[in-house]
Amino acid sequence: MIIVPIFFAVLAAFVAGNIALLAFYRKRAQFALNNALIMFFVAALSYIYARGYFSVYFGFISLNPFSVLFMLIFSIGLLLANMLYYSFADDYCELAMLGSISLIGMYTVAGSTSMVTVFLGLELVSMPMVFSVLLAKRSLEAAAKLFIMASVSIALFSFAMALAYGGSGSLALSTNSYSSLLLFAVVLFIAALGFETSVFPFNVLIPDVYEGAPAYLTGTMGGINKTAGFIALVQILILVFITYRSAFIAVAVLAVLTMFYGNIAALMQKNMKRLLAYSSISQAGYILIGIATYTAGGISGALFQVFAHMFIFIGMLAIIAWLESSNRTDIKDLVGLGSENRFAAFALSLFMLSLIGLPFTTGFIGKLLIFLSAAGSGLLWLAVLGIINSIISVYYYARPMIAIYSHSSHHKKASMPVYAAMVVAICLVITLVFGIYPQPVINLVTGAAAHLFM
Amino acid sequence: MLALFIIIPLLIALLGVAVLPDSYSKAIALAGSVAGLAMLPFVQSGTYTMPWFSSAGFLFGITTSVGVLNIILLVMILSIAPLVLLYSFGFMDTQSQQRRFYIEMLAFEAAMVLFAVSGNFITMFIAWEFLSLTSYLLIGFWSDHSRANRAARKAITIVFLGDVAILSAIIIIAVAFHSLEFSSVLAAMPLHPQAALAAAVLLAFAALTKSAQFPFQEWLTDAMEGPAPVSAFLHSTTMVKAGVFLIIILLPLFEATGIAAVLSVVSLVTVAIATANALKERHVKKIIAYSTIQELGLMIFAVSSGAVLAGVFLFFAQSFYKALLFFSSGAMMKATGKEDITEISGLRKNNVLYIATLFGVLSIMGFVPFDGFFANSMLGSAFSANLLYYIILNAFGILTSFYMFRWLLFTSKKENSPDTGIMYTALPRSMVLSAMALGVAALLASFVVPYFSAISPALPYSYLASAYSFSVDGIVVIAAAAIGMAAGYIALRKNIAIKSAALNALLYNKWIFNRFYEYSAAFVCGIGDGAEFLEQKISSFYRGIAMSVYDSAGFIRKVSYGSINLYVLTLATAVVIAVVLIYFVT
Repeated sequence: MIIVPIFFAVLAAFVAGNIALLAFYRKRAQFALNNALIMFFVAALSYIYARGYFSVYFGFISLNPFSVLFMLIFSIGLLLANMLYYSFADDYCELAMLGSISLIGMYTVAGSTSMVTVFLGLELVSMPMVFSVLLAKRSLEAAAKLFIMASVSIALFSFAMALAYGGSGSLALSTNSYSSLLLFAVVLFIAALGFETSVFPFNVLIPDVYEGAPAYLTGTMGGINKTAGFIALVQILILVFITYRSAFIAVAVLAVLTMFYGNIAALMQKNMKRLLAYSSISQAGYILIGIATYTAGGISGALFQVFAHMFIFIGMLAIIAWLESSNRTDIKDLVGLGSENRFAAFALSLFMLSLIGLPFTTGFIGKLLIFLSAAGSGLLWLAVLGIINSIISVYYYARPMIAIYSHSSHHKKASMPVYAAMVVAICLVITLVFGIYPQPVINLVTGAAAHLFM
Repeated sequence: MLALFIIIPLLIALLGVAVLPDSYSKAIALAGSVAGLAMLPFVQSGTYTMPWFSSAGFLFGITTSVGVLNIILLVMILSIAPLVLLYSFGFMDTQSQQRRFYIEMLAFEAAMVLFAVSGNFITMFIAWEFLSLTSYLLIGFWSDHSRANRAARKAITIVFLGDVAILSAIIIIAVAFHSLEFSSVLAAMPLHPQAALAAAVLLAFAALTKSAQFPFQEWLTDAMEGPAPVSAFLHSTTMVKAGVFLIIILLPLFEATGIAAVLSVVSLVTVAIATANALKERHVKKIIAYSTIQELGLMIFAVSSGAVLAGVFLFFAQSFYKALLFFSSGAMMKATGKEDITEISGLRKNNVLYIATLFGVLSIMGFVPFDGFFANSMLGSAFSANLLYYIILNAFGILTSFYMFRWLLFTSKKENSPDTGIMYTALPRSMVLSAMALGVAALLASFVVPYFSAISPALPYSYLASAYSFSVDGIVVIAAAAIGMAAGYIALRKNIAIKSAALNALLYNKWIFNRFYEYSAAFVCGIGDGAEFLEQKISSFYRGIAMSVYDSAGFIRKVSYGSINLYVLTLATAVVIAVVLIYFVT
């Protein structure tokens, strides 16, 4: 039991240490501290999960199979993001400090016990990201847009909380009886979280932000922040509004719109980051299908897909960040990557194939689970629309893949920075290993979903 | 034991080609495929399941099932693959492309083997998906030719339509039957007639797309843009037969739901269209491609009208001579640099290649010692009770032998220039030898006929049993072939152009089929264009806002009456619509 207080003490020290180290600008030292402590968190969380130290701590943070699993996933995600910052960013020290603050936010979202903590957690995740984007000199526009999105999201979320409190007299994450005031609240919650999770029509700024921000931050935004948004959405919809069936119909409709918007807009993109932004929007649509089923099976499928998407996205953006450092972000700039760096070319194609749903990758398993559970809970039409969408996506993923493996006249070997290559390798291994042997992850997400439905 | 061990040497070879230097690519690929063939005797028949993962009480397993049908397909794949790779030694002479070519070929072969042994829907779908992907890569192999890219896109559009169908069928089956094993789904079929019907329709759709049947036939002739070894391996002997194989192994499902009758009509229409086009076509490889579509149609027709054994034998026998004809077309194109049969000449300059090609043509026409004869006469015997079908089949036999003999006469006429002769004699030996090997195989495949009659009781499908016996049908087949041959000779001598209103009506009304693809492509791209336009508007609109943010003097002014209002208005509208929607639904 002693591990839990130690865990929180080290977490506080982690943030404090990062802030203190910022004064000295020792990039190496800060990197070492970050890696070491995040690895400690990973180890501690695995230990907590394995021993089952589940209960509510300090009255506001709940450790349970759901929250610990996602704390673990967030920690690994931040570890990868941290390596990317170290390889590519000029302002590593600031980014690491902001990242350490957002880690608190992620833990809060995952382990929240009331709507207020979800809110606080989300702000702790999204506000540091606004400042991180602002640090990169050329990304003012993206930062401004991200800020607009975050503030609208805050406004809607607080209004939704006010309505929820007015309707039920409680902000706890527990099932509520039906009232029309709460029905309005659930719509606002979906809208507010729609910004974080890039759901149509709240996502119109997302491609601009993803394109304008440096690629290493895009990876964090699309990988980790979006995951945090989904965790919040799942908790609020399932824990509070499970009896509001019409809210889930709205989610199903939004899923269809989001998939079609993402996939169709992606068809004509010329910039890799923009294409990936749209592809990540369409992935959000598939995840919403799983949520729309409001069954444990569907939610575990959605959580699996969230897991799969996070690592695939970070892995892809690691490669794009490397290309971006030599100003190559258009699809046509990918020509010849196959002969320049065989590893990066293979990994990028495999990530895209996994997003299409190639068997033996995590993307396939996630989609299969989602579509099957949708059909099993009477939403066959949703599953079929999802399948049609995953076929549309073949067209836009095919273009970069053809570019990667087409012949170019210059055969200059180029290698990625070592930590970035490590990030890609880790994401690739996760995508392949858990695509071939998915049972461990399925057990984890099934346990997490079962906890939500307890 | 899972029958997946055949794939292992292929995957090892694939890794070897990927990692080792370019100069080893050929040898490793060939060694891998020969090792795959060597694994064949160790395959045990029976069904084995390996649990893969389970979720929400549903177990997904990798199941392999080996019966006689699977062995037939495995023999075809594993024996033709080494010959195709050997042929490629000579054909693919550009060093820089070899690594990619052999990787893709080995990946394809592995996927095909997985398909051949798959015993449940999920395994079959995985193989099906990898087949689509590798065939896309191989059709578009010469990616700097725009026609090759277009053909690859068309092929993948149609084949992926099939993938949508098959995945939807799997989901329906999993939900209704709580199992994805072929055997248990076939056994439980009467319990869920509606689900079975839906699944049968979707699976038949998928099979028709993969096997290039009406109305999806056109991708196969376009796929001839790929290299000749690819045409010989994927588009005549293995991948296109995946659809036929699916129909054969799930035949009880198609028969019980009445889809088999639909399939027999559709396939007969395909046979007619393909034959008409073969008569008019002049592209040396496309004629063979049309004849492949025709034969695939005949297989599906035979199988779905109850002549399963004849269909299966055609399925087996056709592989050897069809691959051979693609080998010789590739050799002709390489030697002469031409594609039009009226311009190609001088095949007789290379005696070995000429004899091999002759074997292939005689076999497809249905002359006696070759396997094509046995396939055709089995087909005739099976339909001898139905006079209409009997006449139709033999009429197609006459037409086939007509256009195939013409094909041979055109390509083997005296060479136009002495260079052509030199090019023919200088053809790489590996190409000529592998063609000859297939010619011999087309001869040897005839000896399998007695076994085909003997194996039937071992099959799970009892109605497969119908022994072959030499009868008057064989004589009719030879007579049809001879008539077609004579007609082909006379037509060429007298230079008679084929003009017939009935024939023209059957020709690919290019304007219908091509327009169909163009419109669907334009539709998708049009939506894309529209989305891009909309997105530019939206983004310029936000760029305006962002610029105004930097413009500190105008900041408050612009925000207070500028576009942010509109932005918030959009959001508010979305929220209001959602609320209204929810009220209505509730």
